Amino acid sequence: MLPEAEFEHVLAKKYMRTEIMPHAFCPGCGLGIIERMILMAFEELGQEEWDRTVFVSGIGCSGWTPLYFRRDAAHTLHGRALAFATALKASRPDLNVIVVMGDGDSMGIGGNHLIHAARRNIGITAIIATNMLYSLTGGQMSPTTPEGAKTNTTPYGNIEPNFDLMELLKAAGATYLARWTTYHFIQAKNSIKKAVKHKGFAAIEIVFQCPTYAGRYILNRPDPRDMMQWFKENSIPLGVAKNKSPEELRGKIIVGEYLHRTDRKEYTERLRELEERAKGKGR
Amino acid sequence: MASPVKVQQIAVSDKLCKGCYLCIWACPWDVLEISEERNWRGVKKPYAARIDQCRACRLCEWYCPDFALQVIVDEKEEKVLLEVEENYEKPWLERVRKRDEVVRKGVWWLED
Repeated sequence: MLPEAEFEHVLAKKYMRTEIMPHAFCPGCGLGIIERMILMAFEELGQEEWDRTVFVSGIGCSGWTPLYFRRDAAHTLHGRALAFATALKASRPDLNVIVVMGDGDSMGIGGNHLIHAARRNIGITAIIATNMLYSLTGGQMSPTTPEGAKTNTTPYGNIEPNFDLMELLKAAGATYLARWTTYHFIQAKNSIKKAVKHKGFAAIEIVFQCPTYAGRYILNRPDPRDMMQWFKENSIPLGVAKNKSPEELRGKIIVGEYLHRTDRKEYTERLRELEERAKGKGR
Repeated sequence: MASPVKVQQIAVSDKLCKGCYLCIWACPWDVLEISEERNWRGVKKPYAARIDQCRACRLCEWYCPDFALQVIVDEKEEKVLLEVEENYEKPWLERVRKRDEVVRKGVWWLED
């Protein structure tokens, strides 16, 4: 029998800074589940992949996630996580660069960097954790807030439609796209595994529960268990959603693997080619 | 209903558990329950009330956001479990996956 007073989980013992745990997140926050998805993906990928992985994160609740891993991590400016990651990948193409971002980093403040990273098709894995509002600063409206939702800054209901990140990135030129919720644990883990191995810009949107703000204001479900149940009932797989009308899909989360293409060239490969060409001509 | 797998312990950390009870929500076999006493952090921890029903599916472990919970199975039992998974479950799952991939390009285990 393990003593429960100083007990540590096997995964946590192997990969995480257990001395600064418990997490700073609220009880029931889904970011811990996203951490576990990443760790379990690397547990299956092997130690070699883990040894050449670098995490980059921005600001927000999601910016905390990589800081608990026993791995190099950069906690960067708000919205500029992808800019830092692009520089890192361009200078060290052998590294796995994983960026963990939230709504603000990816779509709000850093939206420009996101579409240009996708356009370049640089080999970064972007894990975009969205919880439908800005939760660190107190529940303000964000680009992923659904239409009609009440938040702190939209007390009469949100009048703006939300981003469809998958369509945006598909048009921008990303080559691996998937969207899951924290309820779809195994699927998201497999997607992360695929994305780490994928050459090119890979984005995985993971909708996670924020019981403190999204649960209280948007869904009227302050209990994390109710929020998980809501994810379970309101997510539709891509194959099923194809046959349904837009009215039926309103307010639902369409989950699935959206895109996996291998025909576009990766940015760092182009960079190496350019380097060789320039060197050859210089002499 | 007694389980065919013998689970030694479901350890819940005193330090890490925050009392969100996602483990109780996730458990399909109704194993865990909220304890009545608060621990030194002021959290009513979940505990394994009916451990004989536990089948070591580890859903509670996966959905725990704080790495506070672990299902501990004997080494011998673990070996048997892995053997069953390798020899029986994996080929079956692989077959279902292939069949459904042909039928439709979506998620195979998420039908409504």
